[in-house]
Amino acid sequence: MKTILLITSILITSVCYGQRINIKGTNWNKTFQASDISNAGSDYNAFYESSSNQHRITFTSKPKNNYTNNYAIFALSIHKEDINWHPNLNLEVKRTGGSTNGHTLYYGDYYRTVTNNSSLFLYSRGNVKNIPIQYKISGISVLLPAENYTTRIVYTIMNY
Amino acid sequence: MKQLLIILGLFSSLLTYAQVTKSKNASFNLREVAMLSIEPNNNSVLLNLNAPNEAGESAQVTSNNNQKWINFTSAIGENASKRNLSIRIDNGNVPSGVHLKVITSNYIGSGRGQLGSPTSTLTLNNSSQTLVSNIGGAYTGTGLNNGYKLTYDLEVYDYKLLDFDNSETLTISLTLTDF
Repeated sequence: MKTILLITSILITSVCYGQRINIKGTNWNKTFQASDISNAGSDYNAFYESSSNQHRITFTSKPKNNYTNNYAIFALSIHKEDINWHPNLNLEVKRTGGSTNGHTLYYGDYYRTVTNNSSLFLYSRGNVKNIPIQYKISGISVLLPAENYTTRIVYTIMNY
Repeated sequence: MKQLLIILGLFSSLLTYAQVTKSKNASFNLREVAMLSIEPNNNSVLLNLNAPNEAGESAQVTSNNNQKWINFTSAIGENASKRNLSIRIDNGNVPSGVHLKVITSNYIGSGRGQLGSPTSTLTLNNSSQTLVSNIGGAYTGTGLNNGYKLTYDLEVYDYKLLDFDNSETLTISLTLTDF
C-alpha cells in the first residue's frame, strides 16, 4: 500500500502543474468627443483600434518545467465581464504577432468578438512570451447616452 | 479493491487541470457633443424688396442664396435635458414695414436619432426663438439635403413704413442649447 501511494504521489508531482500568466500594458482607455467627429452632421467613425501592442501576454508553467514549457499545450481563453456596457458596443481582439521565444501559436491572428462567455482565443505548444494584443471597438455613436462604458477583459490560461 | 479505488481517484485528478486568469479593463468615455454647421456655406443671404411693375401690385421680394441647410451632431447624457436649436438677430435691425421670416422644413436626410421637431415659420427679432426643439442624441447627415432647410423671406406688413432707399445688414445666430 505504501509503495502504491508513493508511486502515485511521484506521478502527481511530475504530471500536475500550474500556469502563470502575465499581461503587460495599461488598460485601454479612450475618450470620445467632438474632435473625433469629422463634421457637424456626422457620427463617430465605424470603429477604433487600440495600439497594435496594447497588451503583451506571457504565460509559462509553474513551477518551471522544461517539458511543459516546450511541449505542453497551453490554451488561452478570453471573455469579458461588463462593468457598465451598452449592447450596441462590440469589442474585438486579435494578436498582431507571435511569441518572442519562437514557440508556435495557433489562431488568434484575426479579429474576433469578445463575448461574456469564455471561448478559446489561441493556443500554443510550449510557453510564450510577449504576444502583442490589439483591440477594436465598434458601435461607438452619438446615439448612445454620453457616459463611461467599461468592461473587464479576462484571459484564462490552461494547459494539458 | 481499496488500493484500486485510490489509484483511480488519483489518476482522475490528473485529468483535471488548473487554470489561471488575469484581466485588463477597456473603458470608453463618451462625452456630450454639440456641433452645428450651415450648408452649403456661411455666405450672406440677400433679400431685395422691389417696387411693383404696375400700380396696385404688391412689392416683389427677390432673393439670392436665401436657402440654407442646418447640419448638427448632438450627444447627451442618459438623464440630460434635450436640446433646442434657437435663432435670433444678433446685430442690426430689420427695415421698417417688413418682417424677416424663416421657414423651417421637416427633417430630411440620412441621419439618425432624436432629431427634434421644427417650428415651421418664425418672425425673427432680437430674442432667441426655438427653431427645432427636443433634440437628443442624433446626427443629421452632412451637406445639402441633410438636416433642416431654412428659407429666409421678407413680408411687408405696412407699406407706409417702407423706405425703398433703406438697406440693412443683419447678423443672425443659430445656437444648439441645452434647456
